Amino acid sequence: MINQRSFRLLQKLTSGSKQNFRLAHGQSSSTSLKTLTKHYDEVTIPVPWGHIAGKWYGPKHVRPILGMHGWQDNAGTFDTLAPLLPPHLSFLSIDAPGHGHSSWLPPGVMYHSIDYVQLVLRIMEEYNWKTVSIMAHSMSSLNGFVFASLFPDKLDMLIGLDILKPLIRSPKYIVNMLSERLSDSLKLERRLRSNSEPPAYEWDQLVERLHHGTDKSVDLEACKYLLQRNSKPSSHEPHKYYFSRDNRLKTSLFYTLSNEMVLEMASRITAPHLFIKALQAPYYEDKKYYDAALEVLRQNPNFEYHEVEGTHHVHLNEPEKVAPIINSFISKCRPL
Amino acid sequence: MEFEFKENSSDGTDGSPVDLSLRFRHAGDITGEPPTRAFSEISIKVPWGHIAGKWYGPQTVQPILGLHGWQDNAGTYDLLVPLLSPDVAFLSIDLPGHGLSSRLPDGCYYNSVDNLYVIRLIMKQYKWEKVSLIGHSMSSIIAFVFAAVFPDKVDMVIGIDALKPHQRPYPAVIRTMETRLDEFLREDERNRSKTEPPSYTYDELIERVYLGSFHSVNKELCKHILARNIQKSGKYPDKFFFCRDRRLKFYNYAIGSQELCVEMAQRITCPYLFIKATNSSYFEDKKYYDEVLEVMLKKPNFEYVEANGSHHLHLNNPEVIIDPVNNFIHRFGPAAIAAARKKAKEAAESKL
Repeated sequence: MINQRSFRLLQKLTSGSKQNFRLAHGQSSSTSLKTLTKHYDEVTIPVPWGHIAGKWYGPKHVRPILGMHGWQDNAGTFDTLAPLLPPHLSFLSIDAPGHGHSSWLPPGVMYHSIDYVQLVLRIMEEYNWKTVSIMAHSMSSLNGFVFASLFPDKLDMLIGLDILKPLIRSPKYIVNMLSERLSDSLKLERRLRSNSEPPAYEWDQLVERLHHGTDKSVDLEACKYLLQRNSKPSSHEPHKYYFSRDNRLKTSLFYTLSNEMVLEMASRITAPHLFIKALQAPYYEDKKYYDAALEVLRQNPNFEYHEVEGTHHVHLNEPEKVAPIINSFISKCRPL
Repeated sequence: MEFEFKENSSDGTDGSPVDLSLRFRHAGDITGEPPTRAFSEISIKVPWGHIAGKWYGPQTVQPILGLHGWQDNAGTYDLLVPLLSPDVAFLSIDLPGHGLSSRLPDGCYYNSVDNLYVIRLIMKQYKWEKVSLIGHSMSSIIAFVFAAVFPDKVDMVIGIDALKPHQRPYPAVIRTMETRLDEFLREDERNRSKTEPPSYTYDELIERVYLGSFHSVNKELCKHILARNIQKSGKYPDKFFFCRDRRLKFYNYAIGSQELCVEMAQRITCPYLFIKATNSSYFEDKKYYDEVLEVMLKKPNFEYVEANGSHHLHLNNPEVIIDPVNNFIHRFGPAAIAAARKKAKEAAESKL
């Protein structure tokens, strides 16, 4: 019975491009299903190794806000927030390489965090944008900071969600990480070549795995928004699904910048910059580095800082908490 | 232009037929001279294509893996290898995008840290538990990092002229990041263009290599660096063009902070020989170099040699460094390691 229900749910999620869920007012996030209907078009952007997939909400003639998700998530991260954004603007939520419906990087090539910055430039070129408006979560928010510091003239608005800047790691941590990730890359490449399907689970188990895999950051009810583009039905086990993102993402190489370098970068950011910190989410590094960067960023008259109650994925679990802050900021940067 | 290698060996490595009407394995393929030392042209399969190289010496012993500097190629060791002990095997490879090796797939970056992965891939193909490395310049830095990140996977390192990841002023690093990201898209596109790049006569090419190395390579020896990086022009019968990957200009060789370099130096445990050329710069504020050198000098199996020469002294005047190199290899190279392991095994067995 449970299997049938899960299968019907998956069918419902993958059929058509309308997100249509039951309305539920005034209930806490742990019991309600989020609501709102918003039409989107599935888009494809060619890149030399394949394509980037994305969900375009709103009219095509309006330059959208570019939405970028966090590490190992996908375009579905903004499913609950997109319908709450100002209707006069379009919104393009993309899948980064290796995630969602986007192509994976070729065999033998490693994922690097800085590729996200390059990706923004590619998308700008594809659509002929002189400037870009970015809303980014987690690792993409970190890369939005990098983009803002390298290309201040190319950015007209940055909304960062929960990770402010490249994280500062101890040299010991960096060396250990390099060793682990490079060694694991060899194993993952081998698995890639074997073409074997990853372990498959029943839908409810898949949901549990994602929920726990994110340290419960993604609410149980919100998992489906990420799973829609992150899972595929098993080809040999009926009623089971597997995680379909590129496994090699686990061994992505992140920035190894020093604190001084990051502070230098922070001082270069001049674009309108909104940063929202979720209070129940960790800082992912020694808080002193976060505080130091925040101090530098506050010197930008166009910088705004807000804190909200919620987990790392508050924008997905409880978009109504961040929507008013975001919308107010957007109406200043890109008014009607 | 890429050409097919016959992949007839099951372990992913084999002799590689090079189309000698278009490409050149060594200077002699252009000038008609014999190679500076006999070698086998080999090809190692990697997920995005192949790594090309020249295997010198006995094929039955594990070779020392020789890595060249940025925008050079396997020819960099052409004048060093004839001076090595004849019982030493040496495999000089072309890094991805250089020489006869495949370039990285379209749209992908060159990061020097990825070369650590390339070394692991080569080790896997030849089933080496540990590797013996000799690296010049950028690859000398890679060898340093490899020895720190995988101390249990390296038998010995010989580094030539660059000790550790360079520290550059922040504005320069940021400017490099910016240019790299912006211009990369252009070069990536040009890579895929089917039109032949500008071509030059042999003498013009030599001049360009000479200037490009900031006169570090002696003019009459430039041909050794040149040969594997060029292709015969399809348009002009007596001309050639550079065919290394254009994206190499934007190589990301940033590894990390000075603090990270010191941590790495502390982790190195293998026998390590570092050769500094006295007529070559430090490429960074000398204080950073000194700090790491001090850490290395405390290690009982670290050897430091200063030798008279430019950045490419191993090519211009290898005789000034060959004695410490041969001596070091004799004590710590693959043959010495294999003998030591055999001895230890025999000792263990005799105890039973």
